[in-house]
Formats: sequence, C-alpha cells, structure tokens
Amino acid sequence: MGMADCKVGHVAGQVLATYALGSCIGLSVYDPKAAVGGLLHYMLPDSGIDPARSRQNPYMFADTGIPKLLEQVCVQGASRRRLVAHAAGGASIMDPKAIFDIGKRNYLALRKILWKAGILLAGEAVGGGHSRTVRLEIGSGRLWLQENGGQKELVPSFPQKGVNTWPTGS
Amino acid sequence: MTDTTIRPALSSAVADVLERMFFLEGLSEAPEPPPESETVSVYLTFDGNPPGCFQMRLAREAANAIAADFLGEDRESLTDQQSTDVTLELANMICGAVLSRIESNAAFRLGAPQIVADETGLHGPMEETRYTVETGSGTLTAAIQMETRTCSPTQTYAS
Amino acid sequence: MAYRVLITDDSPAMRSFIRRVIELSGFELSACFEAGDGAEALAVLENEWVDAILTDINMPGVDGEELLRRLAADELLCAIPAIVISTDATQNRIARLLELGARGYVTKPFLPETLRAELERTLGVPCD
Repeated sequence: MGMADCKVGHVAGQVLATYALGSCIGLSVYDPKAAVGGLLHYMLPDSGIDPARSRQNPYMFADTGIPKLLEQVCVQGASRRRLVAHAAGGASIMDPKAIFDIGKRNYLALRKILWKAGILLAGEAVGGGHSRTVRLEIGSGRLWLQENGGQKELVPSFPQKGVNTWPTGS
Repeated sequence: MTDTTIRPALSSAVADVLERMFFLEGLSEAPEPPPESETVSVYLTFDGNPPGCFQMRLAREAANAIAADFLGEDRESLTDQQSTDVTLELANMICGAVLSRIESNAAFRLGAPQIVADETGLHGPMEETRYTVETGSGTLTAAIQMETRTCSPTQTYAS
Repeated sequence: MAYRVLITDDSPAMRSFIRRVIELSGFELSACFEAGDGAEALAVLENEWVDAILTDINMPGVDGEELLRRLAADELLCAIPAIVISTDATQNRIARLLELGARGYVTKPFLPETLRAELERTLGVPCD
C-alpha cells in the first residue's frame, strides 16, 4: 500500500502493509474482538489547502482520511470503542531546516482528529529523521514496525511508546 | 530575573502547552496586535520567589477554535461559557509552565485566572516579558512580570 | 467493572477533559463526581465512596495539598488512591505530595495517554 492510501482487512491472515513512512503518518487500527483492522497512510494534515484533491483522494489528508478509515473498519464490523490504534511516521525527512515541519504537523493533526473521534493511541513510533514501515496482520492483530534497519513487533494489547525524538514527546 | 532567562521559558512554555494539549504546532512568533474587542484577555497573579503577574491575550476566533478542539466538540455546539472556561485554563497552564521552568526549586501558587478588558501591558514598575505567536486562527500573546508586589490590574473586569 | 471517580479542579473545562480521558481509556464510569475545590471534594466524600480521586493543586479555598492532608488523616478515606494533576512540575512539590500519600502525579500539560498510564498504574488495566 503506498502513499495516500488506505486498506481495511477482515480476513484472518491478511497482512496490511505500508512502506516509506517519512514525514507521512501510518495509522493502524485494529479491533481484536471483531478481528477487523485498517491501515491509512496520509501525507498532509489539512485538506483545506486543496479540497478538490481531497475529494479525489481523501487518504492524502489527515482530516479526510482518518474519518474514512474509521468508517470503513466499522462497516466491516469493528467497534470504535474497541479499536487499538498505533501511529508511525511523522519524521523530519526531507529538510530538517524547513520552516514547516510537515512530519510534526501530520502528527499533531493525527492527535487532534483521534481525540475528537474519541480514540487514544496504544503506541507510537514517531519523529526522528528516519523512514519506517508498518505491517498489520488481521486475525492475530500483530503489528510490526521496521525502522533503522531493524524490525520489531509492537504488541497491540498494551500501551507501548516507540522512538520519539521531539522535545514535547511523551 | 532577567529577560534573557524569562523569554526562553515563556516561549517554550507556550509551545509546550499548545502542542501537548491543544494540537497547535510550529507556531511562529508574530507581532502583537493592539487592544481590540475581538480579543479575550486573561489576567492572574502568582505568589512565588519572586511573585508577579501574568496576562494572556487571545484572538476570540482562536479561543473558540482552541476550545472546540480541547473539549472534542464541534465549533457549532460550543458555548461561550465553554470557550471562556478553556481560555482561562489555557492561561493557567501557560503561566504554570513558565513558573515551573523558572522557579524549579521554589514553591509557587497561582491565583485564579480572570477575564479582564483587553489592554496591552501589565502595570507595575518592573519590566515585563511578552511573547506573541500566530496560532492559525489568530494570535496569542503571553506576558509575565516578576519581582514586584505593586503589580495589579487597573483594568475593569469584564463579566 | 464500573468505576466511581471524583475529579477535583477549579476549571470546569479541565474536569471535562479529564473525564473524557478516563472514559476513552476504557474505564466504564458508574459515577463521576466533580468538585471545584478541596472543600467540595470532602463534602462529596462524606456521602459517596469512590475508587479514585483526581485532583489539581492550585485551587481557591481548600487546595489540593490540604485535601491530600485531610484524606491521609481520615482512616477510611486514606485508602482511596489519589492522582494529582497539576501545572506545578517542581521537584519539591512532587516529593511533598507523594509523601502526603498521592499515588500518582501528572503534570499539565499532559497527553491523554500519560493520564491513562497513570490510571492503569493506580487502578489496574480496565477489563472489558
């Protein structure tokens, strides 16, 4: 699954994956009871800058993509209350001296939209300067994170924090 | 207590509070607007070592946007009271965050924040430190004045 | 399992925020009491039992520190875990409050997940 895309799965064994999460955010949600999950890879925080584009592809933006992801997993039987959410990405890849830190803006847009949607993050691997890859396995709910040449399994059933090099990180 | 100590504490406190609880980031410093009716102004005093006073001025549109986001409400269903309550708490948090950075070994007590008529400038003989950022829906100014006991608002309190 | 909590803070906005975090953390609330200061909190506790108290420090009237002192001095109330949520991040204050019996401490501004972690540490992970 590439940039500005979203996939939902409800078949055990299915693996949803997204690569090269630089300043983009990969948001994974999984309902362990319904065994339904979804993965969204968005690039920009706010569709207001290009509403026409967001109608063509809502997954490009946090504010249009996240609600769509949630809608789609719920249509497949997930319950919003049971969703376990993880986020990866939001790095400062392209130009660390850029005035607009898109990675950080994407991360804050994520937090705002999830808060409004009533979902807290179970774990995150955000910030820094490196790219990441995320894989979500439907059925088991296992989540893998690849970064810095290493891969680790993030177990969604309890809260876990990944690398966060921003000064205001938790 | 010099401006060079206070200013970084002030700017860092503003950024930290706005990012961590209000989802606003990368805020660039902006020029402070003159007093106007579409600005909400909050004032509070604090005891500490040293004591002082704090003011926050916030564009009303920004106050409403911030309040809606904080409470997880839609802009349309947000009440004036809710907007005021969030604005007061925002001022309380920024002031507390500044003092925690400056007065790391002393105890401080914040007074209750209150809405006041909008004016730039705190009153009293000591220098004040002011910092303004653009939030995306309007500017926010935080100002602090320390080491004075004559610091008091002469503005009338708006209800 | 349903929980009964008491949220003490002079800001109604902050009380709302805290309540929301508790609910979104998976704790089903059978009762959520709110108090604007320590005196109101103690008045609630005269008639109601709660599983946890979340309290601010800087409040007009009876402040959070005084509330903790009075809770610790009461042979029944001292058993209720109290989590402090305050702007004061100074070491002196934190140490003093932990000595007074606070089980947890969250500094404002805080991420919802930080409060959730503190709630889970104090009350255990909520079961579905």
